[in-house]
Amino acid sequence: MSPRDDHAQSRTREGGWHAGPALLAAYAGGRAGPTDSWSVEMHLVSCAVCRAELALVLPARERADLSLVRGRVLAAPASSVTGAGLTVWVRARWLLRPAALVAALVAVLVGAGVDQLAGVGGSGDGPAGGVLLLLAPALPLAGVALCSVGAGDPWGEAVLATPSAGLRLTLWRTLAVLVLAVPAAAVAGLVLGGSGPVLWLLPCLALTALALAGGTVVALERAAAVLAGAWVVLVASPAVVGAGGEQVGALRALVASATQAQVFAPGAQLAWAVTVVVATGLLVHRRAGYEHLLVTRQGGGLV
Amino acid sequence: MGSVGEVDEAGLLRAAAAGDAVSFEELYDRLAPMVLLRLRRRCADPDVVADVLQETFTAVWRSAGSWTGHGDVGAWVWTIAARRLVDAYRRRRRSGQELSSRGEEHPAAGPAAASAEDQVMDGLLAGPLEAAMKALSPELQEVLQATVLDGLSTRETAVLLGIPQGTVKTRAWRARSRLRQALA
Repeated sequence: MSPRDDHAQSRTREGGWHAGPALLAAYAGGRAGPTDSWSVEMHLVSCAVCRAELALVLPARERADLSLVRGRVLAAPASSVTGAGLTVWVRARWLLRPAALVAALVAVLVGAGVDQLAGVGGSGDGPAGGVLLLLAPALPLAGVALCSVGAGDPWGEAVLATPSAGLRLTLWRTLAVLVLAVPAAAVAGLVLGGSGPVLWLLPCLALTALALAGGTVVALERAAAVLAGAWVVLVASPAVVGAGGEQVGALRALVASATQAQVFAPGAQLAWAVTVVVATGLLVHRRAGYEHLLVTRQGGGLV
Repeated sequence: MGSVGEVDEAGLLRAAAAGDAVSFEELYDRLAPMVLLRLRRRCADPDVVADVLQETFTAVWRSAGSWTGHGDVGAWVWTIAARRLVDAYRRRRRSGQELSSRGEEHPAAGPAAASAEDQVMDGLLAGPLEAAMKALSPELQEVLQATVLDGLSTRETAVLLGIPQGTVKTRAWRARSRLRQALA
């Protein structure tokens, strides 16, 4: 064994291993080698005795920094610092993320507006609500995109302290968006004379689950945007691709017979159901992607 | 400051969660020296270290109520600090400033700051593992430190050290095999 056992460490107190004063002083002065530093660091995390010893051998520079930062931390207003200071309303506001709810509602309104405009501009003989029906599955994505726990989010602290809180918060916010957006889109569809949410509910859930699963790899807003774009392409491409020079007519025909669109066919519905299950499985499997929200989200993507 | 009283850190944290500022101050005095020194060994810029220390303890105070009660309070606080440090590196990198994660530029970290007596004492601390560690390049040491000691993910380590994730994995593997050879 090395001489360190005699000089730097002791087994006297409480029978366990403790870093001796010489080792602590070398560590505090930045002179301990890597192995000793690592041993001390691992030990300090769980040993109050050695932490107290360490505080006694701190260099002057470290003492000055500690008292400076101490003042800055304590200067923060107590009401914004302690969780107890947050009112139920403030907590609920962040749990629900009102911006996400508003975005989802705006998307539904825009969808209904486009539907009305298309009806006015077209021949008018097709059933109304076609455009809304075709867009409905992707509309809640506008809200889902804003459900991540990002910078400046009071709950970001909770994510740092409890990593699992990241996914849990995002799921709560997403659920709130769906609870608001799905009935809103359904009511809009019925008012405009289209069908209920029966056709588009499964694709909507599939897109939402895919966005959340994608959020483990890239920023959630990016995943949602890509999926919304992909949905439009998926819906429009079968009609447009084979239409030759008649794209506008093909789109009009697609809207007129929206309930017959391929994405809503029974076979497609089965595929959407499978997608929901697979995407949810992926999300659970890769949930660690939501543990590092503040690290990955600020940059809007991967390292 | 820093004396070990009757109340342990878990009790102080619970009291701080209930809004007791005095308990939080006591908690700071007990844990901040450890966090400060540990950050200092990982970041050469004293301003960044002070900022991260401040953010860490503000976060500790803010989320004191969310501590699960399992494990050591010290470990929990360090986890927050390590993530904050990675965060600081990401911010700096985006704004174009590079930080050195190693301590060469930190005046107090060099052997030059040690007195003759300290140097004699430090020499006595050297052992076979120390020699094996010193034989590792600084690049391998810092990867081992981030992944093994600080428990950071490959992605977080990549942010902290400013290297690709693949390099983190290669270096971690190489460092382990070198240590194994040296100590065999």
